[in-house]
Amino acid sequence: MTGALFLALAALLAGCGNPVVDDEISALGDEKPGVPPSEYHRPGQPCVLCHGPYEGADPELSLAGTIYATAEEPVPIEGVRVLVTDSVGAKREKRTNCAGNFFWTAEEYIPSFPLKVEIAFQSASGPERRASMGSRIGRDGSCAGCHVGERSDASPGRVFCAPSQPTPPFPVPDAACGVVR
Amino acid sequence: MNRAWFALVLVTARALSGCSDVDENAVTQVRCPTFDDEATAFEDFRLVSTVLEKRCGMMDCHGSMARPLRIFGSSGLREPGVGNGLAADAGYYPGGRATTERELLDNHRSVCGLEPELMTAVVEKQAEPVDLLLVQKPLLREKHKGGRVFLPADEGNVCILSWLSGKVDEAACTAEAAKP
Repeated sequence: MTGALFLALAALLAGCGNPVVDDEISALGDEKPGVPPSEYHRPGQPCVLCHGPYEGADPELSLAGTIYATAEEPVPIEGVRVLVTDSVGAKREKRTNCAGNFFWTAEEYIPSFPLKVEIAFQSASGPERRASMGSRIGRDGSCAGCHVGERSDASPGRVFCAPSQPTPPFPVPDAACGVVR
Repeated sequence: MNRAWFALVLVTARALSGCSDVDENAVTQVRCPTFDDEATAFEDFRLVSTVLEKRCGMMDCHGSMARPLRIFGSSGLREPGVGNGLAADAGYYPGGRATTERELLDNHRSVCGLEPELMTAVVEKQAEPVDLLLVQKPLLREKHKGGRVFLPADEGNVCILSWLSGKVDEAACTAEAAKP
């Protein structure tokens, strides 16, 4: 009797999930053809949704995102420095790869929220420029948790370097970035 | 067994009869700081709202449609654009144009609607501002998923307390809003 109860309870708990998160993950769609899971895959998507404790994709990420040229142009920018200061004053820095992606694994860094974030990027002409996020990050490790697609009343749009393309414009990334043939 | 069923029926009947005591037409008056005075209503609360927008209204915290104590504002979630008649190309997006009066009014309702009876008691000096969750949560005196937002001496806390006490400390609110 006790064994049956235990089994029923275990079966019940195994079925427990978060349908909201499940739906969000399903909505992300399939991988881009030719770009398998790697540090280059799924730019602009909420990384920690899958690479977090719930879905458990490896590696677990604590903070991750994608940086583009401008708000209107989804051109990923490589080499952007992402500078994070957390609530206990710890500072961390990463650079974006050719997909515009950057990330910290949970092994590298567990930030103490809220976070202040700046990016520093090199335009083709002139010195390095910096841009700060207007508000703090409260708790979501995925930039794309809030920065969803185009600007709207519910999204500030993509994370971008400059309001408009500088002269000369940002370099277009290698189309083969992350592609496995 | 029959006795147990009888007891259950009695308890259920008692519970259901209790439900019919609600007066559907009853109106509960709720008071909220400073908005009683229309002349200074928006400007007083705007200072406080700026602090709330900055410290609580991040889009992954209270600047979310899914959260209780929803906060709208220029640096976070915007009130759905259809109602405001403004579109993203008019700067109506997070990080865009200034907080609208309608968003301000919604923030005011959010804050006062969190614990309306207690808020009324605070306004009528029957309770202390520190009794409110609005004060206790950011100080982490109550469980708060967003952690500690303020220390007691922080200008943000002083700003909110001053508003709850009936006179906004403009210097404290401005100082908090100016912090990165």
